Amino acid sequence: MGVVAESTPPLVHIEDVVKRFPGVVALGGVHLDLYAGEVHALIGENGAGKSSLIKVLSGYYTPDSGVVEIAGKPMHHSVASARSSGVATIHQERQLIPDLTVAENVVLPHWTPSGVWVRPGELQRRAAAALATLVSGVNLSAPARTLSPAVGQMVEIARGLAQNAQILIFDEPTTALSLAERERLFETIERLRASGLAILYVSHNLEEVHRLADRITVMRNGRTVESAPATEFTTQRMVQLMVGRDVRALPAVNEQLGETVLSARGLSRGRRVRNVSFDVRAGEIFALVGLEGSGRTEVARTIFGIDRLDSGEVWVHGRKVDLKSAASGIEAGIGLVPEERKLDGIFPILSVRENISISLLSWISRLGVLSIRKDRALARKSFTALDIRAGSTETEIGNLSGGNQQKVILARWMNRECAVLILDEPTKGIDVGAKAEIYVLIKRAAEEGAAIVLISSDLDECLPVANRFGVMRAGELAAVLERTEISKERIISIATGDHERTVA
Amino acid sequence: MTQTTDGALAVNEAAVTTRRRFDPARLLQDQGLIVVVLIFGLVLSLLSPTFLTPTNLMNLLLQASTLGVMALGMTFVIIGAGIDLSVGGIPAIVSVLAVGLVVRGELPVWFALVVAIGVGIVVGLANGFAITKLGIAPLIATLGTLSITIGLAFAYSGGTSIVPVPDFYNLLRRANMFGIPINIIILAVLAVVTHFVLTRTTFGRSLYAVGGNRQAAEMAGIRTNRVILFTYVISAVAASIAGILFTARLASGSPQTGIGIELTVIAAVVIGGTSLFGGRGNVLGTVLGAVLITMVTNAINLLGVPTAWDRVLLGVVIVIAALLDVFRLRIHERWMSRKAS
Repeated sequence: MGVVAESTPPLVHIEDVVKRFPGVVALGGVHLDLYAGEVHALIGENGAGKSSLIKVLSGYYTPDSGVVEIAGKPMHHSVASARSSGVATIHQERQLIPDLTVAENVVLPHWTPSGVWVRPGELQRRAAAALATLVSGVNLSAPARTLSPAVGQMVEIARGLAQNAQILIFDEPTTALSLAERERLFETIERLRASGLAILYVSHNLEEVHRLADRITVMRNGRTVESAPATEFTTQRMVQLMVGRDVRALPAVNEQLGETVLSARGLSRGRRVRNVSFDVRAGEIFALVGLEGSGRTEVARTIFGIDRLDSGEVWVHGRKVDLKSAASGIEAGIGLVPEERKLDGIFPILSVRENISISLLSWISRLGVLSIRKDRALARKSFTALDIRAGSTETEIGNLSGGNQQKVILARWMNRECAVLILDEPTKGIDVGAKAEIYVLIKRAAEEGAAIVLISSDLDECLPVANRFGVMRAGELAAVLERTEISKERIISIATGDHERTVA
Repeated sequence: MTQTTDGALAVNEAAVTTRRRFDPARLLQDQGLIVVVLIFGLVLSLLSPTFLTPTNLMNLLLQASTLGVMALGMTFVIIGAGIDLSVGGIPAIVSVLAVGLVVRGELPVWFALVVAIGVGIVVGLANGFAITKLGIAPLIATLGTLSITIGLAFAYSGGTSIVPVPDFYNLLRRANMFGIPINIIILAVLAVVTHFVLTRTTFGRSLYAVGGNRQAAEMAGIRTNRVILFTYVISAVAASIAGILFTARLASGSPQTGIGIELTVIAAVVIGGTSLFGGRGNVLGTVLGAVLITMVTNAINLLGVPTAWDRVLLGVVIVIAALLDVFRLRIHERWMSRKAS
């Protein structure tokens, strides 16, 4: 092991790559050199641009500018040619086809070396050869759906090897694995490195990075901020680089808190929510932070009632809520602004007016008959109160900017004067100006007496506004911190499970 | 773009528009079918002198009315992103029961009607239950009940038509108001009621939401299963009413009643601009769709084309209408993007 001499040319050379989306700069100047025979860790906070960079390398995104070279040749930006030039990605989510056999999944999509006829024996032999070095005792004829996550991952690696991949990208590969399975994966990765493959290991788990990496590149806000041999990094330095400069003095938050409104007691659901308990008072903003996949969204969904609890209770204003569906959560005074606005929030082909009143139909109707006059009045009131900008209340909401769509969803709950308002990544995909407006509205709802649960991956955004912080890790509420005792570093080290080491 | 100077919310002083601005693209999208119907009518009146006679037009509407009633019910289902094939079987079971219970069972006419329509409602509930609670795909669930209802109709009737029908059906066949056959009146009344339910009730609004984005509807607190179940019951009731109308027109309680009509009903709804993906659709379109389809049959008769060509011509009309729909959407999108830039 060890760092490869820099005199050999890199297998992958990325220089000043820029990728923009409407309103967002996903990559704003990325540099990275990846050598054969090294494990190169790519680290950064959620939204730092790691995923975008992976998508460029695996051919899904075509960069707006910059250089991507593989083995000295400029990369052709398509998935097929990325694959043929030797890039294979092991995704966080499984990419196996559940009803095909293990063998078929390994050789996918090259069923046959040439020609038309698939010969099962030849297919099996190729699959067996690719799997042999990775894992033993797998039934090649079993359907992929029967595999454990760990073995499924090995099948995906084998698929890369079967395609003669020279570059393996691992995207958060350990999220679904047990400790023992992780260790086996690490050993596999070390063997692959020894055999001369270039490995890009993307993670926000700093412990794993320490264990594996020869070289580390840190990304922040779509740029690479540091790239150096792993020996030059301490955990503290990695965290500092990921987070950026120190947090500024915090502006005042609402100190006039009322009595406890929301009380979550021992919430549990599967592996994603484990015995989570916390209270939120009237006027308080409780931030729920943690890595993606740590169970924040799942906690929100169980409190709202859209997902059923295995065990645990939700109390609102001292009354136990009988949670059977979102409708029952809403009746109890709970509102949820979902993370996936397009999937879970808006009705794209309905008008802004219809989108506002959809959760308020009982308010604007009598005996099931709608009052169009009340409906219009409600829309007009919301436009003014939340400064929604659209041509008219009759515009299809799909034509609005993300920020205005989000205001429409906020309008649903603010009109209801919800006792509890849960916001899951409320500023995701929203441009900077509108973000500030959304936070003004959230603070206003708090001042009007709502108990707010704010889920955010953007610590810069939620640190200034929240009264308290709950840090989630692997489905558990790992810590609840007061405003006076928080720092970004502290939150990240708790969230990444590194705090036993770093906390002095 | 949204921009604020100091993070505070500027109060929007300008009056908020709540009325739709005049939008040619939307007008075309909503009413394009009228143009198609008018052009087709014009062509027919040029080809055949009898087309524009009052008798023929009334006849055409009379034929369209039963199809139209079923299509109104189907409109609910398809707006909710579902599909209901069982409407091809419900008229048969309703027809044989409504006549058979009187003729063979010697029960009163009204009682037979209640039982027949009740059985139709049970089929609708079964569809809705299978789809929402058991999670069976709508196409499969209603294919099953389609087969079951036809099978039961044949089993009950012994495979033959039950005649003679009670007098009620002869009266129904001849009934009219101001010279307008009762079928057309029924279609008109149901169309108005359907329009009201779709546009002016919480159920209608919820239905568009469920069809437009089921996940978001659930998150917004709509009890989506209940809404969807109800659409299948409505469709079944519409098909039951159609079964009664068919029975009157054919003057027999036949297990053949309405067989094969399910695809024509779906075609009428889709030609009428209701999206098979759900969330879009309106009553005027559905009625025009039923009229257009009936005009095809009418044209075949008037022009003396062998009736075997009926289905071919109908298929061509469906494909053309679908094509027009694609063009309409494209024009609409182009218009929207031009407006945005």
